[in-house]
Amino acid sequence: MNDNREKERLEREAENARINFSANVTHQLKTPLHAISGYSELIANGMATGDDARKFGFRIYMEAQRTLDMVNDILALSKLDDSAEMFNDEEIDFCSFICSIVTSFKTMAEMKGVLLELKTSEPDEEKIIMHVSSKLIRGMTESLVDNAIKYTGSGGSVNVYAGWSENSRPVLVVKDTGIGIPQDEQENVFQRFYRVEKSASSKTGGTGLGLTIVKQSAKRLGAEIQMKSTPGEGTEIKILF
Amino acid sequence: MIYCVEDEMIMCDLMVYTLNNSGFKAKGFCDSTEFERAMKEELPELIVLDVMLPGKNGLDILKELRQGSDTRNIPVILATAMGSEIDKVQGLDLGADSYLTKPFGMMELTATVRAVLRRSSGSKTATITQGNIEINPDERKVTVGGKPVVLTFKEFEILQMFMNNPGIAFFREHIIESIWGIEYMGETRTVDVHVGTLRAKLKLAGSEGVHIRTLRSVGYKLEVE
Repeated sequence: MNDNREKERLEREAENARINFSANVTHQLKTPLHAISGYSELIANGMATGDDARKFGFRIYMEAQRTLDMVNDILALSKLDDSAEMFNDEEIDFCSFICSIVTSFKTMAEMKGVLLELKTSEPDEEKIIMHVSSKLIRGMTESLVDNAIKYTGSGGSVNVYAGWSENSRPVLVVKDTGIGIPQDEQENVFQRFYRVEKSASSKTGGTGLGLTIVKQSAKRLGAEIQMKSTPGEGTEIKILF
Repeated sequence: MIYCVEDEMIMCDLMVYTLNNSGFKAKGFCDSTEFERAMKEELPELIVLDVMLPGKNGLDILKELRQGSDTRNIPVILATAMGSEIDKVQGLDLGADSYLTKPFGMMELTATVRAVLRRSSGSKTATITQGNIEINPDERKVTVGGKPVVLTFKEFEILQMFMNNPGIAFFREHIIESIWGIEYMGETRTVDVHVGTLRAKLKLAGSEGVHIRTLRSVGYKLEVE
């Protein structure tokens, strides 16, 4: 009897979570779409011409990209949430794999004026070979590095370390000198669509789902997340496998 | 001066730009703190207020405006999310003058602002003049060179929309939505017929200095010489 009640309670909670998520997704997608519609209206009806039209064309492009990023993140999160979705394990050289992912962010970091550096474990240390879903590791790493660069100003830096931790566990560390997260917000930042400062994330183009993807991926991988952050100084997120 | 309070900066900029280019002067604010600071320096003629704001939300701001002796009569248009019936009801009960449901069009924004300003100014004869055509929306009268012209209901609505937005191109589909309502399933050819008869009546009456120009594959716009 108690088992049935517990099962019903969990099903109700899952259903409520799905409904809330749908409502949130609709709300989050509407804003960039409303902006795209509005700016296009002004160009189409002739109110915005010349330099203004060009400026608005760029804004339409940025909002369209933001919408696409959000759709991709929502799809990724749906797969992570679905317990029936299987992520196949494969053998990967952890450090090389992280290196290839971080390298793909070089251009983005350069355009922002952010120094992106990667360190891996020493050559004489044992190689880290993992049997794990490369898709999950990739999704998690991309979200962490993307966030770190987005929230770090020009002249700042993002340092990534992939290797052995002090207690001999494989570890991924992403440390930035960005805006940081206030103490009372640090638990919330892993929630879907949570933004510490909306106006800041509007400028950076964040979807509000990056850290949720990190948390759900870590859960699937049985990994532990540790975070340290100081507003105005930066954030360090450590994933221990 | 019109104040727009909207926390999404990209939307706030869009609304302010549209109003500034539609014959108004507008300023935008992303939260209640910036807005309250500005209110201490200058009171606006009208406020467009988003309901979902960080910190103090739009309904709380509206409540405070209606309690202030110098702010209680400032007209307020609330911007609400689609499907939030409760926001509209609460907002109107708290004293909002009108509302816009997101995602609203920019021409809808300017038309709503004009309508609310007209109502709140108590003006009984707010006429719009372009060339030698004069239109009085309150009395539903049109004159060309001082002589009255009889228009059908829809012809009047179309002329009013053009006269309020000289130089702005209107798609046929937009005219259908605005004048006939979004549920209308007729063809956009209906617009062509009505604009055709409107043009003929204005020409016959001797209109000067203003033309309704056809934009091929697009729609129409009012050009003023």
